[in-house]
Amino acid sequence: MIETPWVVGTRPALPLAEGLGAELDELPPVVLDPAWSGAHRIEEWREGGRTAPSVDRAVVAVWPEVREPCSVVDLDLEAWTARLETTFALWFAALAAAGERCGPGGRVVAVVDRPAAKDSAGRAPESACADAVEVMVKSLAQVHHGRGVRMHVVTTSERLSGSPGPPLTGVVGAVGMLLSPGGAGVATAVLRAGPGW
Amino acid sequence: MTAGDGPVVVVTGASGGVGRGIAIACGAAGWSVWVAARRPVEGRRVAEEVTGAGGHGSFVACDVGDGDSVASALAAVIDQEGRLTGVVHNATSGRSPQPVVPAAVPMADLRDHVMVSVRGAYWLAHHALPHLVASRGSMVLLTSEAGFQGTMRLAPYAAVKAALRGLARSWAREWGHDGVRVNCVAPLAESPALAEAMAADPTMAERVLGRHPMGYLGDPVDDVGPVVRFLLSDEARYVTGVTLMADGGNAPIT
Repeated sequence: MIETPWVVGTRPALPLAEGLGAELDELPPVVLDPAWSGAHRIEEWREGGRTAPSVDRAVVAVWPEVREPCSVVDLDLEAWTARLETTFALWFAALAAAGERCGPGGRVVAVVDRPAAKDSAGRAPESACADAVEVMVKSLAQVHHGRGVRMHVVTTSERLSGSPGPPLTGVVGAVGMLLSPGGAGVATAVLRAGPGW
Repeated sequence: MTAGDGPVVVVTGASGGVGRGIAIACGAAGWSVWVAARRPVEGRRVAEEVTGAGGHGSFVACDVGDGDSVASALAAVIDQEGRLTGVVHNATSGRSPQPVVPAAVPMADLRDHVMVSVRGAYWLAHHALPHLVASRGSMVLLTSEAGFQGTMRLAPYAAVKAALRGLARSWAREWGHDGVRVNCVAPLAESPALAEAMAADPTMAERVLGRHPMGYLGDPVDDVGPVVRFLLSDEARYVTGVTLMADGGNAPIT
């Protein structure tokens, strides 16, 4: 039996929350401009969560709207900031908050889009975010290791590739495994989930 | 005077540390090297060291987080040299060695990390790519062991260094058909930034060197610079989208 996790993320992650039988605690719908003038909203969200009760299981899914592949030289600065820097900033704040909020012995799973390697042309923002999230989780796992908190990553190309089939089944299954009693001994895992080989 | 028809490379953040080592190593091969940095006194000094090593060193002022500054710097290089064969993005935020609590990092500080590392790469891609296509040149992005493993006290630095690996992987596929290669190097070397980080965290030296197979930090000129030079050279003409570790085998990544 898996305890219903706290799922925090952006609105496109609602199907994931539903798949996990949870509500979505929605991040502020921030789109940063090149000066990051909207970043205070992320800080306000973070500060507002400091007094929230602790949780045993957390899932973080900062999922932007899926965009078409685009060469970096065709991305103007506003598009670049919206597509990469905004997502990066939200991920950093949300993961750090999840690590803090998770109680002793708890678990956190980040679910991030990762384009298939051979399909990553035009997907530089998504590739960069995926690598960054994996490493954010590894950093935070070191921070919270002393409290027995374990942190993991599930990557998926499912949203980016528009794969047919039951949506998110593989992702939900991978998250559920990491949060289950059987996953208690797994340490800082990075799992690929979704359709495909 | 220029280095004739040899390689012409720009190295960002080259006024000291690992960037200086890369610039001098490229100079030692007789290359024309542009030290792109914000600090003119230190940058010109490194340019002189490049010339002293056998290359042709020049300084150009460059703030990589500022698109106009990057455009102006690269225009100066093209104006002088007529071509550009390589770009090395080594610059990082001055906050890189400062320990942080991840949940308390001000967004302004996170932005500074992103501006220099990630947006800097974006501006270099925008303004250098046409010249690299013309020369069938290459780009090298400096990442870090932290960009693979994470790090407890330098989480923003580790995250932006990881992001650069993702950019390189995508750009290698995006630009390969134009003959432009993109790779990363993950160094572990003596530098003012690493010294500052170790001073701020007394446990760091033991963590970094305690189980290091070779037992010492690399030298930026002799241990890291030649690795970057290799990736910039025709010797690596069939190498793209990879990260080469120049860390003495320290990171458990193979």
